[in-house]
This record gives sequence, structure tokens and C-alpha cells, in this order.
Amino acid sequence: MDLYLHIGLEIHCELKTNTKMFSSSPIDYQASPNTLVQPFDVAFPGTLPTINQRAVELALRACDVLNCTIDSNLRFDRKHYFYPDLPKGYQITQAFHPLGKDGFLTINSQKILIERVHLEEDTAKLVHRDGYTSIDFNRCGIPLIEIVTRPVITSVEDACAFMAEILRLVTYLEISEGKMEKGQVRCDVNLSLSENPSDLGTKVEIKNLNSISHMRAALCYEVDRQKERIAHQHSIESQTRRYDEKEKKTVFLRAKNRKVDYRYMPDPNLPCVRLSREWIQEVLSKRPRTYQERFQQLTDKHRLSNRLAYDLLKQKEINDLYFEIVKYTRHFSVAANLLCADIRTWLKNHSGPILVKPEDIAFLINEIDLTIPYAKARGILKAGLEGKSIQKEWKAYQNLQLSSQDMDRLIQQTLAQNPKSVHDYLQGKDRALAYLVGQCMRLSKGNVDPQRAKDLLRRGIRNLERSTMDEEE
Amino acid sequence: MRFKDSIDFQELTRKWHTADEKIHAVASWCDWKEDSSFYVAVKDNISVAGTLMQAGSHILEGYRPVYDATVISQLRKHGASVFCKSKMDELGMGDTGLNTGGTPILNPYDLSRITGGSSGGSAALVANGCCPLAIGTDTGDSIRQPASYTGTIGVKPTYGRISRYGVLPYANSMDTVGFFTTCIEDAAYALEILEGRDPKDMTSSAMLPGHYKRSLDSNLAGKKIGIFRSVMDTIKNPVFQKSFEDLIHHLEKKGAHLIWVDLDSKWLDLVDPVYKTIANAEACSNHACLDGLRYGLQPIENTVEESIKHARTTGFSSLVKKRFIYGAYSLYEENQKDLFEKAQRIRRQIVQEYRAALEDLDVLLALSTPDIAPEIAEMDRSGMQIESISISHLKLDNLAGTPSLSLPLGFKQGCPFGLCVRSDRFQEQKMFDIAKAIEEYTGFAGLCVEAI
Amino acid sequence: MDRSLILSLSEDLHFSLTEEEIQDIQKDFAWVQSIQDQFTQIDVSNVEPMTSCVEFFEQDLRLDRANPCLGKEQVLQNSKKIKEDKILVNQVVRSSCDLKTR
Repeated sequence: MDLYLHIGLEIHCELKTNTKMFSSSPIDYQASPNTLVQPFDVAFPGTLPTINQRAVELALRACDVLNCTIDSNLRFDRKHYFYPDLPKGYQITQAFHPLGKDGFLTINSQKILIERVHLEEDTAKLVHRDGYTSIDFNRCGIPLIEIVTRPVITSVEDACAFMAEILRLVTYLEISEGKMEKGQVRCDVNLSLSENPSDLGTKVEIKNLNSISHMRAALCYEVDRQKERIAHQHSIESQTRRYDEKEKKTVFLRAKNRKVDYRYMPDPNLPCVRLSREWIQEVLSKRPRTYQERFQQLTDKHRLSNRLAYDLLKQKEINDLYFEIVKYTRHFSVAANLLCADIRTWLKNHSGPILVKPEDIAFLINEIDLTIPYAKARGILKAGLEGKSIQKEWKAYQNLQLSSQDMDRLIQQTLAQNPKSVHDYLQGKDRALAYLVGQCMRLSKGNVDPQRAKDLLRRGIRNLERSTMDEEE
Repeated sequence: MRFKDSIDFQELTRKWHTADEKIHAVASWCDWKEDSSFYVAVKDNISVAGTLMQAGSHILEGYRPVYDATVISQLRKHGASVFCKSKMDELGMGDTGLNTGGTPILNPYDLSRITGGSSGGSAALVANGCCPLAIGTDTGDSIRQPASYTGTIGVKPTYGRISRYGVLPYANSMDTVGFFTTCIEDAAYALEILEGRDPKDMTSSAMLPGHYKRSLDSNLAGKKIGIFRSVMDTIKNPVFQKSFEDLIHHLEKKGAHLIWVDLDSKWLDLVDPVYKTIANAEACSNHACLDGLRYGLQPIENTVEESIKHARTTGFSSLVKKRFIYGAYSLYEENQKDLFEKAQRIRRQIVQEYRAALEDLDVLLALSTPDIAPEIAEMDRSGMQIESISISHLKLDNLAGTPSLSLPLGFKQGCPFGLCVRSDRFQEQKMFDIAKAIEEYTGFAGLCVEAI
Repeated sequence: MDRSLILSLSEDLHFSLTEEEIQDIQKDFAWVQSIQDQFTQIDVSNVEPMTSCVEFFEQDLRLDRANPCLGKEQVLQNSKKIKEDKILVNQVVRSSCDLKTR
């Protein structure tokens, strides 16, 4: 018997704002308990919500990359239930009019339909211990977006790939740190099997998935569990299960018999905000580029090879810096190569941020083959990463460049010391010139431009030849 | 008492305590400052940091707010000192002054009668001459109805004029902070003190504040005064009818144009049902935060679910629980379209009809209540009925957000009754102007019961 | 009004009702039903629901700048049971991953 798998995801993502969704409390994950609380966050009677503009901007970014239709009328509703982590007795969310709807994300050439993307507020943090539950309201009210797909994902791998892409998107859009393990992005999965592809079957919800590997393991286990039940003609009950990491299986949490009525109601304290088309456009045009968009730009506009583009995109920090650098230079490949080799290596061996300014790195790149050789540039870059001033290092190198007189003397010296090579070159052995350049570099302790040295040596040898011929005459 | 009256502080504090023994209007005393410009009573649903706030409900037992409502800061900025929190009907849901979670509030004019509500305590204190100003809230008529019963001026400004930050909500889409005074001049000044845009309240209006007192003009010549015939036709009391007729003759004599206003009874009959449907639903939503876990009544049971249940069972009165049940019922998914959402649609229709009538007028007049304050002994506390338009017309201003006040018009059996003067949104100046002219006619400026 | 519906509503609202209260609610439900009947006779299908007196917000949204918070004593001072600066309640009956992923 063929069975069809239907998976739908509900993803909650904490937004990286300075303050909460409906109050101006700051957000700090390291703060001591109950120190980032305003009266609204703990629902003292009489308090009122105010909408955080930045949260709306970040949510719009998500709606845009997920190809949603954006509702420019911002409206909020109340979702009622009682729980100690929900001080108002309701959560402010967007039930009737989500900010974005009817979007999609393409995964493995499949268009995964997205039902909605909406804004809501996070709940307080509960810690259960010793028969008590303690409540910390620091987290209460942090802005969230909820992304809900339609139940159109048909394989566990696609579900995991979708989740991975969402994590990458929210990171690149700079709307979230994107760390599932830290609880910044949370995922609930709805899964069902059916004999008929157009039938959905009985839904089982799985919660508490805090990494993609757990997600994979949980979904695989659940699919097997359901398949076995079906094979033995047992029914699948609609229920909520959680993933037990130790036992590596999904475990029954509670049955879903009665449908909960949340008594959704528009929030009368939050009038409808009409977001202007111009403002939305401005927010979207200024948003950070996604991974895919960056790849397009690197290959199409900057003409990097696919290999180099992928290499550059391996770390966001690296390609963030790349895009900053190329604001000041058009030598795209050089910049990319320096980042993928020198800077990446440096980052691997050192902790802490890169202290060199992108403008300075761009300056250095622009001077390559003009006033400094590539190798020297790498050296100056390394010095810059270690804290020295790139401008100063470049200037010092310039000063070391020899005057014409000194240069002539050096050339003469090199030629005088290597008569055999001169002779070989005159006999047509080009390699001898390279050798002479090397000798010249050695004599000058690397302080000459090899191209310049090469030209002068060639000229010097011609002069020697001429004078010898004159002598012979 | 009026703002301009000089204060003998000792005398005043004695008056407060005597008054409270007589009428039981004080929920809790505040820390007042001796040399303040004036003293204000504040309804016990408005947060004053450090002072108990119970809003007439056991579920808030022991709760002390840690922050001030915006109106409190504004009062203090103008030199006022809050001397007490006044009693009210539980959570704003009542119109008698009897369901206060403690002793009922008594009408200073006749201690066997109610004050009305839910701002009964504030009304009674002003009526008793304890202070020139008392703050209240009006969601359905909770300032204007007790104002009528206590012979005071009760003002409900345009929705959004005065910030609701720090005010315990009842039905947020209609809750309006308002106040009681004994003369129109003081009422005009009070609005100047209290109004203003508050960034903490997204529904507060950015309209420029007015200079109502300075601009008061009681000249009636050419004013377009609507007579709310749909309401007045339901008033059967001959004393009331005569008072009203005498008044409108006077207005006409002074040059006002009288315009008879009738609204379709199809819509007027729906005012009370629409109001109650919306109010019950919003109230049950707003009071979901009263769960006994962070403040107020905090019973300890075996599990948190049981604690919540215990708090809400013992903390709310039967009346309030009943209203929550009906409110939740109208919000259930299968009922919402036909009840809550339908009520909201009908609301818009009613408001359109009402404002269309107000648009062409300076003010609209009707008697605030169809009779004087009922006797406590005769109060029919059982059952909810659909109210007659003679009572429910006051709710039009809550549905529409229009400004409305009640000022004393006359007396019957020694008890006062009031006249409702209302205007279109943000037209408080017109409302105050005409009310001033009427006050000049009645001579009731400064009216209050002589204190014992 | 069905008794079971009343009990279900009170369950959702997290309070229990006495027998007297249940009967009172049933009695007055006739009032709610009469409202429902009145409503069905009115056609307002072409009218938008009015959610508040202020339906549109015409000012700027709040900028993302932090304002001072309450001190933790202020947050906790109305609570009867506190431990290690957190409000304490008795154990939630269900386990730690309940209604929503926390």
C-alpha cells in the first residue's frame, strides 16, 4: 500500500530588535530575571500596547523574500487562553489579517506554499522544578514572526531543507541570530500519512524540535511509527507529541480531542495602521540581500566563478565584508580571493572581529600592480589584521622604493655580479632574466617592484650589449 | 465646591471623613499634600502608584500599582493632590453604586437612594462638596447617569481626548476618562488640564488642546440646538417634562434655533443590545489578566490551574461572571459572526445615523435619565433586560465616541435630575458654551449638598 | 442555554459557578437570544465592523529605542510567592512543552 506523507511547518522566529513588540523594554538575553520589564509586560491593569516600528520592518523583509502578498493595513488581534507565561490572558497576534500571506519558497525545485507570515509577541520564560514553576518576564513581549506553511511538504528531507533555508534566510536578512539551539527559532511540525494523495489524513503535531538533526530524527521516527500502526490496522489519533532526545523517539504529550476556541477578537487598543506603499518600498529596497541574491550578484554582476562565489558565501562574515569592500573597488576577484584565503585563514586562527576597515582593504587592492606587488599587498593586509595601520604600512613600503639613481646602481650591481646570466639571456635564454630579477630582489631585500626591476634589467643588459659592441668596434 | 474657592485644609479633611461616614464613597485614602492648589478624588480604576486599587472587585485585593496613570501625572503637574480613590461598581460593570465589593455608595441628597454608577463614588464626593473635581470613567453612561442622580456636572469628552494609560479597562473601544465638577467653568478648565496626546496610548488623539474656559461663550443667538424627540417622547414624568419644556422655551427666547431630531427606532432599539454585546465581550477579554498569579488575590492551590480557578471564582461577583459568560459566548468562533461581529457592524450603522444628525447641530439635548435616583430598597437586581431608549440614549456617545455631559436641570422630591448636552466629535467648546447658557438659566453653578 | 454550554464556557474562563449562578445565567439567556433574533432581522452585510472609536492610527510608530524599566522589586512587590527574583506558582499540571513551544 502506498502512503503519502504530508508535512506542514509552524516556525516562530524571534526578531532582532532593541525593544519589545508592544513595549519599549530593552531586550537582553543575559539580563538577570525580571529586570527588563515594564508594566505592560507583566500585564498590570491599565497598561496599553504601542507598536515597534523596527519589528514591522524586519517582518516585512521576511514577507518579501518569502514572496508573500503584503497587507499594508497593519492590524492585530487577541488570542485568548490562560497560562502562567501569558500575563494578559491573551496573546496579541495577527489572526484575521497577517502581514504576509500566500507566499512560497522553492526547495529542491519544489515550491513550498506559505500560508501566512505574521507578527506576534513572545511569552514569559517558565522554569519547572521541584513541584513549582518560576516565571521570568524578561522574554515576555519580544517580537516574533510566525511562518506557517501549507501541508505540502512531502518528504522529511524537504522539511529539513526548508528549515535550513529559513535559518539561512533569517540570518542573511539580519532579522534574527537564527540559532535553533538557543530557542531563537522554534519549529512545530504537523505530519500525517494518507492512502490518497489528495487526502490529508490524521494530523499529529510534534513539538520541542530544537535542531535540524532532531527534526530529522523525530520525523523519521514518527513516519515509521505511523506506518507501523497503519500496517497493523490501528488508527492514528490526532495528538501532540514531543521529541525525546535521549530515547530518540516521539512521545505522547496530549490528545487533541476538543478543538480549542481562542475567541479571536480584534484588539481595540491597536487601531489599524495604514503602511504607505512608499514606506514599504523603502524598507524593502534597503534590506540586506539573501544568500541566493548574493550568489546572483557575485556570478552575474561581479563575474566571479561559481566555485569562488560558493567559497565566498560559506561564511556570512566573509561575504558581508566582501560587499563592504567592493563599495570602494571594482577588482572583484582579487577581493574575493584575499577574503577566501588570507582573511578566512586569519579568522580561523584568531577570535574577535576584524579590525581593518573595508575602505582600507579596498585601497590596498586598488594599489596592486600599480604601486605594490600582489605578494606585498598580502603582507600589508596581514599586518593590518594584526592591528597595524594599512595606510602607514603602504606608505612605509613606498618610502623604501629606491630612487632612480639608487635603482641604477642596484641594476648595475646585479648585472656585475651575475655575468653568466647576462650572457645566457643574450643567448636567448629568457629564464636568465627571471633569475636576475630574483637576484635583484635579494640584493634590495625585496624593496623593489619586480616589474620595474625586470624592465630596468632588460634595459641595462641592452646597454651593456651595446657598449660591449662599441668596445669591440 | 469650585476651583476658585479658598481652602481651609483642616476643615476640608474633616469634611472628607464626615462625608465618607455618611455616603461611603471612599475606597481608600491617598497621601495628600497639605499645600496643594486643589484636591481631587480619583475613581478606583485609575492607577495611583503606591495606593491600593481594587476597582470594586475582590480579585484585586491588596493590589498596589507601581506606576501612575497619565491623568494623575497631568493633575499633579497643575498642582493637584489626589486625596482618595473613590468607590465604584465592580470593574466598571454596573450602574448603581451598590456592587462595590464593600458597602454601597449612598446618594448625598437622599441616603436611601443610589448614586448610580459605575463612577458613583466620584459623583457623590463632588455632590457632597468634598472637592471641586473628581475623575471617573464612562463606557456606557457611567459618568453622566450618576451626574444626573447627584446633581453634578458629569463630562465624558470625545474618545481619545484624555489618555487611558493606567486606567483599568472595561471595554476599550468605548472607555473614556471623564470627570465631575459643580460648574461649567470648572469643567472647561478640567478638560484643559487632562487632555493631550499620550505616546503610551495609541488611541489618544493628536488634536491640539483647547482653551475651553477662556473661550466660553454663553450667547445663544443663532445656535442650532437639537431636541432629541426620539428620547423625550419616552419621558413620561410630568415634573421632568415641564422642566424640559421651560428650558427649551427659554433657549428659543434667547435666539436659539430649535431643531427636532428623530432617529429611526430600528436603530435606537438596537443601541442597548449592541452596547451590551460589545461591552461584555471586550470586558471578558480585558479581565483575562486577572488570574491571581501576579497581584491581587493569590490563592495557593495544588496546581496553578486550580489557583487561577479559585481566584477567578471567589474574586468576581456573580453579576460579573454572568457578563463574562455572555461575552465569551459571543466571541466563540461559531457565534462571532452573528453576535459580536454583527454588533460591530450595526454599531457603525447606528453611529453613522447619529453623527449625521449631530453634524448639522451645535448641540443635541435630552434628559439624561427618565427619573430621579431609584431607592436602594426597590432596586430590581435580578435579570438583564433591554433598556428603554430613555436610559440607553446615553450609550450613543460611547458607541460614537462623541462628547457628552450631564448638568443639573431640576429637582423632584428633593432629588436632582440632569440634562444631557452633547456635540459631534471634538466639538467640546460648543457643548460647554451651550451648557454654560443653560447653567445661567438654572442658576445651579456650584450646586452641592450642604455638608453636615 | 444548554447547561453543558455554560459549564464549557466557565471552564474556558477558568471559574466555577454555583447552581444558583448557572440557573440565573440560563434564565437571562433568553435576553441574549432575543438580541440574536433582533440582529438576524437587520441586514448590515455591506457595512464594515466598527472595532473602536479610533479606527486608524495617523501618527508615527514607536521608534526602537529602549526606555527605563521597572526595578525587579517593583515587578515582584505585588506577588505573594517569589524565589530567586522570579514569581513562583505551583507546578503547571502538564509538562514543560505545552500549548506552544516555549
